[in-house]
Order: sequence, then C-alpha cells, then structure tokens
Amino acid sequence: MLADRASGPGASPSARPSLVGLLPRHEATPSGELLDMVARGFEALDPDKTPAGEFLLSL
Amino acid sequence: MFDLQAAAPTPVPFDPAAIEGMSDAELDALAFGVIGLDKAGTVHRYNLYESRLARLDRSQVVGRDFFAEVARCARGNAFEGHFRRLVRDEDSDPGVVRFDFTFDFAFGSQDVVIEMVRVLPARNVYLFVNRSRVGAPRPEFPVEDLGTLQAALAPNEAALGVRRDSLERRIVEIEWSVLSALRATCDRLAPDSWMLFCSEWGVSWGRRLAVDLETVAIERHARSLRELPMRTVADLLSEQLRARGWGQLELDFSDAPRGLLGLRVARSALAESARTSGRSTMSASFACPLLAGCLGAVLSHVAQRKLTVREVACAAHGSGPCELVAVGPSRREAVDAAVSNGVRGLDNFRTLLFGNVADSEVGHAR
Repeated sequence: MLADRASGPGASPSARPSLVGLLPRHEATPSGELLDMVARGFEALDPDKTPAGEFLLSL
Repeated sequence: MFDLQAAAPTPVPFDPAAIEGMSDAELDALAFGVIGLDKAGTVHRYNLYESRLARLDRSQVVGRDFFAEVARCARGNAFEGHFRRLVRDEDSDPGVVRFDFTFDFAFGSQDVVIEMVRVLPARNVYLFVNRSRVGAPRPEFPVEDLGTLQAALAPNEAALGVRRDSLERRIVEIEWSVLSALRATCDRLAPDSWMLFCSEWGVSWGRRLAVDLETVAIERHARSLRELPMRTVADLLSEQLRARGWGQLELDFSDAPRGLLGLRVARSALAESARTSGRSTMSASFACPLLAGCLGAVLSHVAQRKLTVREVACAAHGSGPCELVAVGPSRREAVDAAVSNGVRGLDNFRTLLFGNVADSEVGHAR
C-alpha cells in the first residue's frame, strides 16, 4: 500500500546537510588535515587523496 | 585586448527564500533537484539536476500533474501527504517539512532527503531533492507505481526528429564543419568581441556540465565532487569531454602547491575546427575560449570560489595540445597581462610566475 509505505531507509530524516534551514546546515569546516596543509603551504597536496574542494584551495 | 573579467565564472549562491525569483539558468546551476509545484500539484519549475537523475525532459514535465503523471512513486501519505497538508494548512508555520524518501524508477532507486517549502505569496510549493544514494531497482516495488519514463511522456519522438542519449537527454549531432562555420562567422562579424561571447557561453555551459558531473559523482561514488579526490574529479571531467568528442583533457597537478593548475587538451575539436588549412583567414588568436570558460566554471563549482582558466597555447596555431592555466584571483591579473604581452606555453608561464624563486619562498595567496 503506497499510503503506508516506509519513506526511505531511516525512520527520521537523514543527517545530510539541510538545503533550506530546517536543520542546522552542516557548514564546511576545515579538517585538521586541511589546516595542516595551509600551515605547510600546500606541499602536502596529493591529487590521489586530497578532496577536490580542498585541493583547489591552493589556487 | 578584450576584457574577460565579465566572463569569470562565479559560483551561483542559493537562497531558498528567493527561489521564486531565480531564473531557470540559476536553478540549473544548483547541484540538487528543484521541483516547483502549484497548489494543485502541477509542475511549473524543474531544474537540470532533477531532469538528469529522473531522466525526464523538462519540456515534457512542466505543466503536468506531478503525482499523477510524473512521479507516481511519490503518491501516498509518505510523500504526497506532506504536500497536501502543506497546501491545505496555509497558515501553518513555518511552511516547511523535511523527510526521507526513496524514488523508484524502472532504471533504479534513489534515496533522497526531501525539503518541501511553501513560498509566499503565490503559495507555490518547492521540493528540494537531495540525493544520498543512487542504486539498482528495488524488485519488490510495484511496477505500476514506478516513476514515469520519458518515452511514456513523449512517445514516438524519434519519428519527430528528436534524439536522446541513454540518460534521455536530448542531443543534437553536429559536424565539425558547424564549429568551423561558427568560428568564421565570429571572426567576420565580431572580431573584437567574439572571444568574450564564447567565454561567457562556455561559463554557462560549464555550470551545466558541473551539475552533470555531480550526478555522475552521486551515481558512482555517493559523494559530491568536492568530496572526491582531485584526480577522480579530473578523470570524470576528462571522461565526459572525451565521450562528447571535445578532445583529450589532462590536468597537470605539479604546480598546484604553488597556485597554478595546468591543463592540456589534445585534439581539441575547437582548435582543429579553426585550423582547416594552412591558409586560414581566421585571426591569430586563441580558438578555445568556449572551453576555457567551461573549464573555469567547472573548477569554480568544485572549489566554491572563483577560479579563472586562460588558454596560453593554441593548437590552431601550432602543433601539440592546447594549453591552459587555472589560477585563483590573486594570480588572474598576472596571467592576463602575460597573455596580452604574448607569453605563450605552460612552461613559460611557470617561469613567469615562479621564476627562480625557491619553492619554499613562493607565496600561497588565495
């Protein structure tokens, strides 16, 4: 019965970032790795490991 | 020298409160689905991301009843019920509801978080669709309740001259001579401004390509582009351009710690269309501002800040691949000045920007 069908994998809304502010946004916060990278001047950038969003901070 | 400043791609901000005033182009630059419904449930807005992952053409969706004709899998209390209550209880505060759901299509199932917002004063309702997983079809789901397929919305399209790819995107096949004709027309009618025009066009294209890449990222990796390793993003971008016939893109990461990303495009369709013979009448300028604008927009989308891509060597006027550089705002003026002064080639730009300064002494301004 569609009307009673479970609405997704969890009983409550997932923890993904809210788009409209119903829940606090999960603002991107610098990881410890990123802060280290900034301190060391991006020499530790590794295109095979560093997330693209952080990698492009070097530009 | 023309000024490409206006063409510098800027990530499009998103303010849910201003959704009604956003253009289709702005909605198409968002990396999540947006569906606008009136109080009756008729679709009046449908963005590119949603179109791509639902595999439905916006032109065939707008004007239809969302629950009866487009997304039968959303009928019932678990989804449609939220919409009906939001419409019925017009004075309820805050007019927003958030819930998990699973979309079921014949081609797969998609776990999503729906954020449903009633927008004043028209009291239209917007659905923001944030996907967390794209997977195989759920065999237990009733076939008669699956989401509608494009072929059902618009049957027999092939006979009407409509072509679609495997993801139901409408495509048009053009030969390289069309690109060559376009370039020749640009040179003849707008010799001083065509590069700006093409760069802006490229930025607009790149914003849409970035959204397309986001859908691939969520399909294959269940992550956004920003979260994937840089090389994976580069491979996805290169794969998409290669598959569409634009040439072979390679990214050179060696100078990224010093603030410069190198890009090479071998067999560029744009460059080769501008090099049809040894006696081309075309101007001796760059051939790929369209691609440069596109790549700049994609990289800016991933970085969530303005990055600039400039062509620094063009295969239309020599051998080897086209070469481009991507830089942040702090280096943009230096790159533009160098291009104006005739500096060409990735290696020369490295020398210009970094000279003999030791790596440890190079600044990392952003």
